[in-house]
Amino acid sequence: MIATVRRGVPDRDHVKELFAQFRENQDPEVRQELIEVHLGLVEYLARRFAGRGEPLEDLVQVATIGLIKAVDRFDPDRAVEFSTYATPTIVGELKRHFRDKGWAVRVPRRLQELNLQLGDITGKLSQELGRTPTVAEMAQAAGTTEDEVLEGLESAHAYTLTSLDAPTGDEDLALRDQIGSEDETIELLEYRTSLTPLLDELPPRERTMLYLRFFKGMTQSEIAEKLGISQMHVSRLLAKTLTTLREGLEG
Amino acid sequence: MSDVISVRIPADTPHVALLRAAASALAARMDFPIDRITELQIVVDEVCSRLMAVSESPSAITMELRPSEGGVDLTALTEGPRRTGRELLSEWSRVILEAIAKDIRPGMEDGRTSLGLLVPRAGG
Repeated sequence: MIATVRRGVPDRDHVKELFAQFRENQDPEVRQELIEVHLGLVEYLARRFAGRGEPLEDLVQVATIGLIKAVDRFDPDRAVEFSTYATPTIVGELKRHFRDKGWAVRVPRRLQELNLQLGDITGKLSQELGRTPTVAEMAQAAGTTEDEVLEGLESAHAYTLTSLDAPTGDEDLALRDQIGSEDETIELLEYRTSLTPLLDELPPRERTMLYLRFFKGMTQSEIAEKLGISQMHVSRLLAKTLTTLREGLEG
Repeated sequence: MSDVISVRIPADTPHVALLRAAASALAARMDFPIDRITELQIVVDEVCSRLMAVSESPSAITMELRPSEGGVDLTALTEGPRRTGRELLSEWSRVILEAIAKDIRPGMEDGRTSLGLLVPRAGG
């Protein structure tokens, strides 16, 4: 069976059909096909992390592991596209691969690990619960204390994966594909004259995120789903972007 | 829950982390979802930033946190004169705070500049 591919994007109906079959019979051939039709997504995400000292083929392998995990864990009854569900899992796998190189030196290893773990747990629990988890629920799922979870959240606020958060040209293109057009974003924000030069310097994804959160009133989880990243990542980027703008405005 | 938590810090950016920690710990005890805890942290940053921006050499920021049925009610204040020509709520800070919080209460009385608001448990 060969999937219909349009501009490298698997046919949605065909993917749904495959997942329905896979859930019914756990057929390894169907699983394999599900993996193969999404290799374009794997390569696209791996390329976002290229140029950081790791061979692209290694990154593709790492990303493929993330894809396989996503295929095995995906619940087709959820009202979410597989690619939206899989993206944070694949990116999480890539980030884990980079963890020793990507974090600022001053972040203790324990907190790096915890923060990555919390990102994974948030995604998993959100899907299970149908809402964003509480600290208590995350602590229980992570087998740690609530204080540790709070420490992890604060570390996400205080430190960022700067090298991994840096946008690439490809990412800008993907974002336009996902949100259609960002013209509206820019129009709505640009009338705020004191902010204009600062907003111009932001990557399109961060600008869109500000628009969706503060002008459209979307929740972090809704933004995460729309942009195909994790809620924890949205949270980190919002905090970082607002700090940047605040520093620029107070300058 | 009716206990009021009061924290006083030197008015500089590094110490604001202590206020974020106090607010986050309270919200966690109140079973806030984690996205709202991170937004409460944004509110703390924004409120402190505005108080430091409009106050003339503030020495300290005092923040009071009141748990309520509706969420966390937060009031932060500085003492001393204000800088002239600066609004406590800039247009941008109003956008941010109104998206996350309710009942925003800027105040200036008896030489104290304060900013209070309510951060609900759920929001969008």
